[in-house]
Amino acid sequence: MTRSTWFMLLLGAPAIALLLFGPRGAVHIPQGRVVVRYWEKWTGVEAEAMQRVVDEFNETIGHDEGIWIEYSSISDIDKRTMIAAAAGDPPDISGLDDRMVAQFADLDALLEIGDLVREFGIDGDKFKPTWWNIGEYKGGLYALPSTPFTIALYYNRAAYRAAGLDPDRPPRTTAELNDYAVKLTKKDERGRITQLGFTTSPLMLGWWHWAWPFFFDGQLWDGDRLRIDTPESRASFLWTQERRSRMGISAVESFESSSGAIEGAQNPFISGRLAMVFQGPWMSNWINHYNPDLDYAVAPFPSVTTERENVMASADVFVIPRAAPHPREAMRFLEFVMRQENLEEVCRAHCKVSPYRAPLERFEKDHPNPFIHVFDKMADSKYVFTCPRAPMFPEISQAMLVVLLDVLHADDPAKVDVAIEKGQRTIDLIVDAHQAKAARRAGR
Amino acid sequence: MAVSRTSLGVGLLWIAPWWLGFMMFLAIPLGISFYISLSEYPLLQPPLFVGAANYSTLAVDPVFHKVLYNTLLFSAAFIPLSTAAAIALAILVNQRLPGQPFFRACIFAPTIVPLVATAVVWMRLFNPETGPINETMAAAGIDGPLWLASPRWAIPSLVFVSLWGVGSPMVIYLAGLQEIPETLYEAARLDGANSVGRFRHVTLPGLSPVILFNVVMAIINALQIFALPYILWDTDPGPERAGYFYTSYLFDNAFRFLKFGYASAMGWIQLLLILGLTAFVFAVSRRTVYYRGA
Amino acid sequence: MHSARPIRNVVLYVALVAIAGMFALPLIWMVAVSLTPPTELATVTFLPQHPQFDAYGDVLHSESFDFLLYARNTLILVVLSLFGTLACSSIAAYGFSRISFPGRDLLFGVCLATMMIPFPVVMVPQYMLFKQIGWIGTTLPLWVPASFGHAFNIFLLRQFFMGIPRDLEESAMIDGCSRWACFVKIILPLATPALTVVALFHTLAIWNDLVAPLIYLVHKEQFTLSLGLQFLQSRSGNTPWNQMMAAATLIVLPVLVLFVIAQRAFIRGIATTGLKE
Repeated sequence: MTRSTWFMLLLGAPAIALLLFGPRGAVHIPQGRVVVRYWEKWTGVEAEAMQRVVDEFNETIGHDEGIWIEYSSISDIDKRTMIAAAAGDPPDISGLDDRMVAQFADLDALLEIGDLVREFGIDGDKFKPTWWNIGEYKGGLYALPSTPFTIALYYNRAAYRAAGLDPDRPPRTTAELNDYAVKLTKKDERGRITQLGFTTSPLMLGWWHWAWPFFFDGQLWDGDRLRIDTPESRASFLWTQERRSRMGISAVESFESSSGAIEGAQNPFISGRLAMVFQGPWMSNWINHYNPDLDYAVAPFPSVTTERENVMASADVFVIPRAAPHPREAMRFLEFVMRQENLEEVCRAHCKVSPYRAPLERFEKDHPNPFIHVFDKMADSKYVFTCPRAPMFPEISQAMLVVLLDVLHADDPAKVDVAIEKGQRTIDLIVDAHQAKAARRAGR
Repeated sequence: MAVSRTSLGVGLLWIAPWWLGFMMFLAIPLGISFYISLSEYPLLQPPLFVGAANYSTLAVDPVFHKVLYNTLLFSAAFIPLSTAAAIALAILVNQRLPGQPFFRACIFAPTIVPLVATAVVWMRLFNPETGPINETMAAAGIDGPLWLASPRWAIPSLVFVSLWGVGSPMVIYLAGLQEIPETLYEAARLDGANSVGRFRHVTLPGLSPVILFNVVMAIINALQIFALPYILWDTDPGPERAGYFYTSYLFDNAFRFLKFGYASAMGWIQLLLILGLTAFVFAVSRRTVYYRGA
Repeated sequence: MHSARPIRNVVLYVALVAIAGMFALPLIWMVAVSLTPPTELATVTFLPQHPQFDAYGDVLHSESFDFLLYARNTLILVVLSLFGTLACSSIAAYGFSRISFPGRDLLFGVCLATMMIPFPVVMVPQYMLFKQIGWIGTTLPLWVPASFGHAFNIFLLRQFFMGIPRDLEESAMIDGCSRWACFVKIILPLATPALTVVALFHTLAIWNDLVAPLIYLVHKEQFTLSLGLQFLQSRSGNTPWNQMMAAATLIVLPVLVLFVIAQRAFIRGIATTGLKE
């Protein structure tokens, strides 16, 4: 039994010591301040950048005007905000993604902030329209951009050279991209892919797996119906199927399911196994971290023709929930955050672009992404698209993912049509159900 | 054995430590959730009573059918396999050999290591090109499947991976084995029973109350499986929704699609399903479980 | 099992080593990554070439992961709820196994059913309830409900209690022993293995619980270890994996030691059980 006693001491003594002498977490709030609860999803360096802004506000304006910003990093922020709002206890500011704005605004859960924004002197004209408008839903302003980004084509210059392609001439059309992708795909003697040119597998993307029809000049949501069976959308799915059948579908699938996730150290673009990928500006941060010698460049993702430069844009945003107890104090803080010198510090720490029309000189100079100007300029395109502003889009997005997975597996263009038709039926049901619900609520 | 019946009041007093907590923290939320299951409730607006509409929509929802099918298929494989594996492991680590504490700790470890760490290991094992499983198969001239990425092999892979968690039931069986008096084994040995006979006539009956417990828990855990597929397939439903399970769909309905009423209806169906299966197991147990204290 | 059978033991040993090795893989991997220098993270296959302990120092000194504070917070939750749930669960389990009263089986069914309703469904109504009684923002939702008898523990203990022969109690009762005295003096000592299992599982459940802290904790000052670990995993894919696994190792280590201690309690020598038929 002595050994047991030893073990007990080994565990018990530190435990008791920890309980008695361990650090105590006391929540510190200065007396007499209005507490504004600000929930944000960021962690690590991204959270620290905002923490600095919050601290500065609390010491200056907050001190003078009696406001205290209580900044919390929250995991699963959309879910947390929903639960808290459902219980009548929402935060004053929540850091959502732009793609959740429609869903929240449609349920009347967000404050329309157009008037407040003007009253507190935030000048929308100083921002690029792409970013200022990203918080709009049905003519109202519901969100302000915090850290915006476009998604571009990352390509491996060394791989281009090795395949006999000009590393300064990225593909200009989607058809050209397919040709490049095939040329950039290498196989070993067993027929296994050692380097893949390009893929639209969701594993190598993010939540924007539905974006392809837009590069064929199509759109998804017309404000009433969501269509994936339009000619443009069909062309985008066939484009994927064509590329994969040229590269060998089963070999591509084997490569995809055995290469590491795009997020993290096993990223196949960073290790040189994937020659081109459709990603956001933060990927340069990963490259700097894991493989700083990688010879790569960034270009706008090509569209079906060279006439229209379609650009995918998205942003993290600030919203004020409708039942927030202190909307005016919250806006006072947002005005401070939205000041160019403050906001751009945060955007840079996030390795994203600035929402301002003319970023400060030091923004680009110190930016961790050497191609940030490419991402920034893309936001000026006339043909910027964002996540469809359909309130039921989260569910449709999942249905579209199922379609995409079917298409990725299709060894015959006819199967693409079957997948599209099946997906369209599912989507129609989702939209119908949503509209029936909305009508029922309106008629009450 | 004569069993004296006690009044309801005395009985309720004994089990008060359970029902007090239940009444305070669970009864009201459960009642509300049943009402919600009869409502259309997008969380951010008050619920709107719709009667049984959620339940009738579920009856014709193809995704619901798919996740139900996947979940039942998984459970059908997982429950017997995990039970057998846990009993076998418990008996193995109960042998009197030096170093057993170490072996027990190893087998128990996956249940306390964070799932993200465990998931990476599985993904490497199942890697179609570089993983040891397919490498071995390739050496034998077999073209291994894509495992997690294959609609056909997704569920078998998940069953296999889930068996890493048998450390918990194993521990309970291990404690159960201690309750079986050594005298019974001696008696069986005197009767000339070999090790198989001793297992069938002493170990199994002695362990049966604990087996009942673990089977019921396996039913509950299997039909509610959530964290594992969530990590293995991320938030994707997987190819042909093969990696999409009952609770995953329930969760998505609740917090992604904001159909909380629908999700609640799913929850109540799940409750009835598990309850039904459990009742069946209890009915069978009346004939097969041996309680020395009964 | 007076085994003087070396061949059998060798076979058993080989099987044990192989099985334990398989099960230990995640643990080994976790520790291996925690020892991997950042430059090797992208290329490492399993074991690092130049192992180093820097990640442990980094994570202990990082601003975003206050190990000692989170450990203390978690420990407090365990301590506050452990004795409550042990007492409540064993009393209720005794009631369900030994006291025969009308409606018992029905109530036991209800008790079991509380485990069968998926948590997301009651999560929102429960949040509303805690909001009503002013518990949001405190740690009360994390340990007060957990202090009552939980169906898992009650069911487990009931099964063990029912395996204990009644004769012991009956002879004691003839000697004038009350029900309560029987429970405390006869049943509880005999059920030590089961109680140890319950204590172990409860500690683990609180230690590793992510769902409740995720919903109810807002202030970093109240974070538990598992919630803190969650925040080391970056949303933007820049997770410092070696630090994260170092933190995970620090979290798992005490629980592993606890397991080794606990298993000595539920694997007692048969001779000491006092169970004679």
